[in-house]
Amino acid sequence: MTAEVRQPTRYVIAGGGIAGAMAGVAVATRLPTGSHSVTVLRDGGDADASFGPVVATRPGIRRFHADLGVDEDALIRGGAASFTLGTAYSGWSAVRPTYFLPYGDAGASIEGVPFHLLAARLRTEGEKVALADYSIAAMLAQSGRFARPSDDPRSVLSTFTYGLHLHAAAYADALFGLARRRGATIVRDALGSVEVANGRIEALHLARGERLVGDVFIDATGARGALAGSLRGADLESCAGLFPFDRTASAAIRASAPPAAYAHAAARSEGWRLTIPAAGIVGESFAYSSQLLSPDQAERLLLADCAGDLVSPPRDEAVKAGKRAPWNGNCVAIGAAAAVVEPLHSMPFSLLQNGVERLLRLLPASMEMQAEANEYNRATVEEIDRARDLALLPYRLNGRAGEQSWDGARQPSRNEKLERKIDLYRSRGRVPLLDGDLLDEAEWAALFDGHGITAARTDALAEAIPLERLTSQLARMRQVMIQAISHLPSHGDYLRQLARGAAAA
Amino acid sequence: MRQGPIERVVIAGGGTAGWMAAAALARLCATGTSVTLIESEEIGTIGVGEATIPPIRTFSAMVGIDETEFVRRTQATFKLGIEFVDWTRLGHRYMHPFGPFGADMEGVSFHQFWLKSRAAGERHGFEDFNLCAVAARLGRFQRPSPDPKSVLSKYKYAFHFDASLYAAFLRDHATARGVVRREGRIVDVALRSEDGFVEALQLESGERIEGDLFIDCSGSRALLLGQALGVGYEDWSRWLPCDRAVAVPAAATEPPLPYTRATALPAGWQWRIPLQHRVGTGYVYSSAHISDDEAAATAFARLNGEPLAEPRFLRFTAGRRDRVWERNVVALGLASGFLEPLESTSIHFVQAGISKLLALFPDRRFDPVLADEYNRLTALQLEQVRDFIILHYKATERRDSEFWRAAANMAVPDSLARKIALFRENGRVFRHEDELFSEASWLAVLLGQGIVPRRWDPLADALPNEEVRATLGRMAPFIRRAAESMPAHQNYLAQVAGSRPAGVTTRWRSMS
Repeated sequence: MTAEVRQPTRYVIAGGGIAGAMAGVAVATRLPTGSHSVTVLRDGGDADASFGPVVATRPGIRRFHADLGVDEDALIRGGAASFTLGTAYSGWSAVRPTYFLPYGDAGASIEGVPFHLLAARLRTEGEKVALADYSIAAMLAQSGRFARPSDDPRSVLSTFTYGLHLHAAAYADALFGLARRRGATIVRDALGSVEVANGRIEALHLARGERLVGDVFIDATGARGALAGSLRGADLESCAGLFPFDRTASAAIRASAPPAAYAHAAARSEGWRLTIPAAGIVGESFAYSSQLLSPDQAERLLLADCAGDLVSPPRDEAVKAGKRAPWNGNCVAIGAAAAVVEPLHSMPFSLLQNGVERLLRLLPASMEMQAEANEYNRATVEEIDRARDLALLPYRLNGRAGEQSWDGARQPSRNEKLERKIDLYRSRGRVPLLDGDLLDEAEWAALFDGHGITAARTDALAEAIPLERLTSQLARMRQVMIQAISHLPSHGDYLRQLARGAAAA
Repeated sequence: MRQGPIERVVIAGGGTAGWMAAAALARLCATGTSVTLIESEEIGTIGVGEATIPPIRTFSAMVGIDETEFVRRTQATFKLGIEFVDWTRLGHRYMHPFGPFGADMEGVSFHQFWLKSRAAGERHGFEDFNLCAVAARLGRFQRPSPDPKSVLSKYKYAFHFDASLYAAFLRDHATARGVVRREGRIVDVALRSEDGFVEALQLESGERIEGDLFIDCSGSRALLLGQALGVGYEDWSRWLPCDRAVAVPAAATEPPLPYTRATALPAGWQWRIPLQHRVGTGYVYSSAHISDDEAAATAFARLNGEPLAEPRFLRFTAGRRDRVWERNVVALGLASGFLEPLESTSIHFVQAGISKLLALFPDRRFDPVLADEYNRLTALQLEQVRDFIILHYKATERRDSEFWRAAANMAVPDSLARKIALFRENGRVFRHEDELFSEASWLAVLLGQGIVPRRWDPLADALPNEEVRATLGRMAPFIRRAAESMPAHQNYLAQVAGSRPAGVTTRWRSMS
């Protein structure tokens, strides 16, 4: 072990949105402050453009906050976050007009057979079984109730989890404040130019003339990739042609009622619309094809369904799906700077969060940092590719017959890994999981199920369980669940209790 | 195209693999599926000691085996890990335990702090922070505590058992649940003319056993998959040159140790598997480097106790079948491939194969998607374990024989080379695609085999040296005391082997 090797000690993060704020908190919290410096350039750029004004996260955000000591209650009291139990989908399938993808378990396995396979078996016997009817999260969302899950593994209330809906600007504010309190220097300025030498970034030159020197640079500037793009070999690889919709119109609407604890993704003939309610604000975005609609038409469609005042003027921008090798030289691109993917299933946020967490696991121990970069890139690119598979799925399986964009999207893709998932689910109701998959097998199954796909054959072990036993177990499960949630408060009451500091953790 | 569910499953071959499959597939008998196992009377029933890893307990639970009864019937002992002697260099020993090292701090893996403390001049042994390893060395054992807050809850365990007794135990279990055993030697495999699927097995007696799905447990000759269907074999002997083994059971001369021992010898390695009634030993060797006679002589010379049988020789080639599920044949055990049992994985591969088969259980159409996925998963798992085993040979300082010089100089698979390079740089290990061996297992072997990272994770610097020193200084004696609080393995074993089966507690998540 050599002490003379120089360690990277100066971290410079560029980006004024949630990506820069999350990276800032993560690095400033973990690195020893005495020996390391963390500087965040909080520019006024549009780093969060690809997220929209309100961001839906998956339950993984709880881990991020717990690991880094970010107080979730404080975020909620401050209006930066509210709870979410999943996403409702409507209009995607011809068979199922709506379905709900909840966070946490749906049902419980019996004799090691996953619940979705038990449900499939019961359906072949003529029973009508909806997966969401056995999910606490779905039941809570449906009944407008909420409370945090129980820690007691024996309680059925331990079987669900939740994510957060983040008010992007307020969340970034909160995290920048935290990063500062943990020793990061926040610089408010704009990026002028990037000083590069020998394939590495030496320094950032700011608009007002300051020069920020560093050992490691984190590019959190959003899709423009202002730092990453200045290095050779980090070109953006586009996969935009795979997706039917290439533009998004978005707006934030003021809301006074307590927010619903779920997001809603509605497919319609011109595209799809995503509604994410948060505290005091609702994020609305509309993905569409520029070949079918002009930005004006899209904006009119977006606003036609919005009840409430606009917080700021609507935005409209191109979505250029693509990716680049995220760690190049001494520059690590996170969030949209590394990859732009569809906002369904909270994918952009999950990629951002996982990217930051992965960076913490691989912080370089020497200025050479090639071993770390190789591993980081291998794992990150795998994850981005799996996110793209997931992004393609709702198009590939859509049931909107007779509509131009949607019909074209149904063709089998040349994506082998995605097609294998589809084939195996169609055959046996199983889903092969790969490194980097963002959803677990039960979630994939729920997604296929929501699109009305049924397996050709039921599970052999599920068939070995006597039918009466299955039906009685399911009836008992459902009864226990209904009983358990009947005591829980409404989401609005829970938020009010929490605001008074009275809600139990 | 043929339709409908599989009605007849035929398992070709008894032995551990065959009876494990039979015991698990017995569940299908409830739906009217017939499960038939064909085996020919075994000649000489000398039990080879078999060592396992913790997931064996999942298999037992799936099949519905009572652990206490299993321990009694198979002469089983408990196992906390594997000790590797003379692998890194002569006179060196390290443990690969079934539990974590130390406790993570500030979200950083414990071993990073250990690396940092070494650089600061501290001299704690890495193993002193592993409860499993410390307990194993002290000859202690108890089952983990169900209380998640207890330090005694944080490890796993497996078993050593007599393979013949295990097969017999599973046979009783399976036949009691509807599996039919047929005595006889298979002399021919009849294929369907239209698609080359296996139609029936012809026995020496002239009897013909038809089936829809055939499970090839015929051992390395792979009667169905290899001989009848002509599936090829991918040879891995360029990395793993050992191709023979000689097994000798011996009388025990001391109470059974709660771990397997693997001792590196000039042309291979020797296993030592303690059972209740004897010790299973054997020499796995490379026939290019030592003769059979010499190997047998070495095996005998190294026995502590009286040999209890004539030496038994085995031959094999490291590698795997190109496809382990082909048409309507799925191979398990030696028929599907071979990796030397250095990490006690033989039984696990059988078990994993059975779980995958049940999860992807076909109908009579045999959708090729199922076989493709089965083959992908099987190949992946075998390759991951192959890499782990190669690591034991590659990372050695031994140069005292041609065998070890060749091992140290070999070019290893890229997947392993990347793993070693990353670890050497700053001590990081990542687990891929649901890999069988955990981060702790890789650490045990990487560090045990003498690979010392150049640096540690910079996040470990968040704790000052004094604090790390103080924490580590407290942790080691704490672990030692916890290990010392456990009963001696032989006492615990005697208690289990002489007690009544315990009740089972259920939780919401495992409602059954």
